[in-house]
Amino acid sequence: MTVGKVLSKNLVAFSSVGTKSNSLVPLLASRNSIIQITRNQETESQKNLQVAEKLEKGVKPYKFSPFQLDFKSNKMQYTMARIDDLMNFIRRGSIWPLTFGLACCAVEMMHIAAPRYDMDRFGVVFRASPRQADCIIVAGTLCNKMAPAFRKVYDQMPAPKWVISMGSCANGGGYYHYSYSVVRGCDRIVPVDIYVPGCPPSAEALMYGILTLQRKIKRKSTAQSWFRK
Amino acid sequence: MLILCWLLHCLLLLLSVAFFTLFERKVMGLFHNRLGPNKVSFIGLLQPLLDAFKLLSKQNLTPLRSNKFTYNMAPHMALILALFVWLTMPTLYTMLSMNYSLVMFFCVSSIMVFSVLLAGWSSNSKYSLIGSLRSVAQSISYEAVFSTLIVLVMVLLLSFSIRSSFSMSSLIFIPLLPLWIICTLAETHRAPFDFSESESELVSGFNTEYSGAYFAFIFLSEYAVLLYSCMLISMLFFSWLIPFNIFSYVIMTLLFSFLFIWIRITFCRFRYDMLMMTSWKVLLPLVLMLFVCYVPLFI
Amino acid sequence: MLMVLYLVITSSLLVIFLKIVSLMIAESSPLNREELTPYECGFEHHNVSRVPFSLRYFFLTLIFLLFDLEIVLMLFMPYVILSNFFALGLVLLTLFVFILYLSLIYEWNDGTLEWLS
Repeated sequence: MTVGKVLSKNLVAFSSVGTKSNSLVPLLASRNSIIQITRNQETESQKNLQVAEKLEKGVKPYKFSPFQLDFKSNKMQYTMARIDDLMNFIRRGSIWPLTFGLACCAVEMMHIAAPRYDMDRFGVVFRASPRQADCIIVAGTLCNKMAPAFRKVYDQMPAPKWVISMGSCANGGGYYHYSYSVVRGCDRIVPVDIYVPGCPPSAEALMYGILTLQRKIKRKSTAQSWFRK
Repeated sequence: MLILCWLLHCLLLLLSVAFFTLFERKVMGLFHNRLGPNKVSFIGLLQPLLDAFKLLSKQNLTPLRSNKFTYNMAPHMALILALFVWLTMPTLYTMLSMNYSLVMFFCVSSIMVFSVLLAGWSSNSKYSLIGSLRSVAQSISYEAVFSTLIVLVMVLLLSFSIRSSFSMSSLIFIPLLPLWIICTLAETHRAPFDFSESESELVSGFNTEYSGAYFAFIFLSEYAVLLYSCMLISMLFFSWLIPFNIFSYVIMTLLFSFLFIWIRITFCRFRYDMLMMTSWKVLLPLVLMLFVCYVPLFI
Repeated sequence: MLMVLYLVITSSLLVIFLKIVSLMIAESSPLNREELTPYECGFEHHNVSRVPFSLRYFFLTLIFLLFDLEIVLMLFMPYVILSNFFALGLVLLTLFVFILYLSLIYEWNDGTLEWLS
């Protein structure tokens, strides 16, 4: 049945199967060799075979798991990496954004606080004071008048801090890019970590942006850098 | 030995306060037809710990031209007092049973007003100052009413300690319960009287300039006093209902804390002058009237 | 009583320990002047932040002080009732509360309680 599937796929697609092909296929492949679109298309069955082979050899599925490394040689680095893991888990488990809704994107930001795309599930609560906030979501058009105030508010946030630029106006001027009074992207004022595109980005997109920020925080390595100085 | 017991008690209290914040968030979520924290850990069980450690790992900032000593001292004072007030709990320490627990509670809650005042004054910010003055004014207005209520309860119990409410039937001061709950809400800056907390959503409260660990201390102290007030209510007013068993008091405490969260969700914030008017023109005459009404009981 | 002092000292040590933990694990970035200015929604400060507070709070504190003192005077009622003179004590308590009431009504009419907000 597997061979039949392979044969039928080759007959229909006119493509040559990748290098790890079945033994019966070269007969047909030579027939279709004039029009050969070389695509590394492995079928499901072949992928299953590969996984079975790997499991036989004893290769574990999670290649990057930290618990496979031997830590006898580099204990300190291992501890630093685990401390980093812990601190990153703590920091991404409770991101507190500052309410910085400037224009229409603010409404979509309100929507992620609403029941449908509940942000409180991820531990995200809006705080009004920059001193208590981790993250600032720039939602809306940043105008020239607002820019120094924005920079000041960003400065008043304690480290570690992140910036999510939401909507095309905050990303790069957006709809009002050619206006005289618009800052063409809030990254002219503050260093931005995550850009969420859209006009306005749907609440789901902003939620995805926050989750991407969580992934970015996961990749931080403060303790390891401190150790290596 | 007692010191170790007390240390363990403080640690567990801080932990329970942290989990009370989780309880609040979950309950608020469910009232809003959404779920509270549940993605980060199993049903959000690790959320308060994450919040606490995240706040502890934030940068320490001291504002320019603030009074550094008071700025640093005020959150410590708030948390120390919030832990101190739990000393007056009668069931916990048979070695340290206070004969004057109600008076002690009254004194400590008067000093807690100072921590709010100092916190607002020492952060060099107009909003902090005005926010803290308003919170303090609210606190002392309701303290006048609250302390009159406490005196009334002491007169009815004929004793200054909470322990005496266990032996006597406290059914006679059930009419005081709504008043006591209102005063507790006002003293602990809870909705609908939450000028210090929610005002920060509008303008800025007294904890605008506090980041990181200090904010965590102020937050924890607020909720610790709230939990103590719930426990006090259950001990004073409901000891006739439940057997003398620590777990029943815990359940009553949880019920009352749920009531406070429910009140927070349901009612919107008072206007400031309405708040003051309620305290001086409505509640104080009411309490004084109750004083006179309970006098025939002794005759 | 000394035990209470020791217990308060232990709780304060716990609180200070938490602060020390925060100092150790806190991420620090070089502080610049902009970060430390007080929060005013991003704008520069035109006035000094120590605004003189309005007189209303002073009047409120005065009135609170008076009522607090009266409460302190009433604080020993349990001992009075437990003694032999409880009837006289109760009559005096009623009179005291009546005088308190009168003072409250006087303040009300005078307008001191009016804008205490």
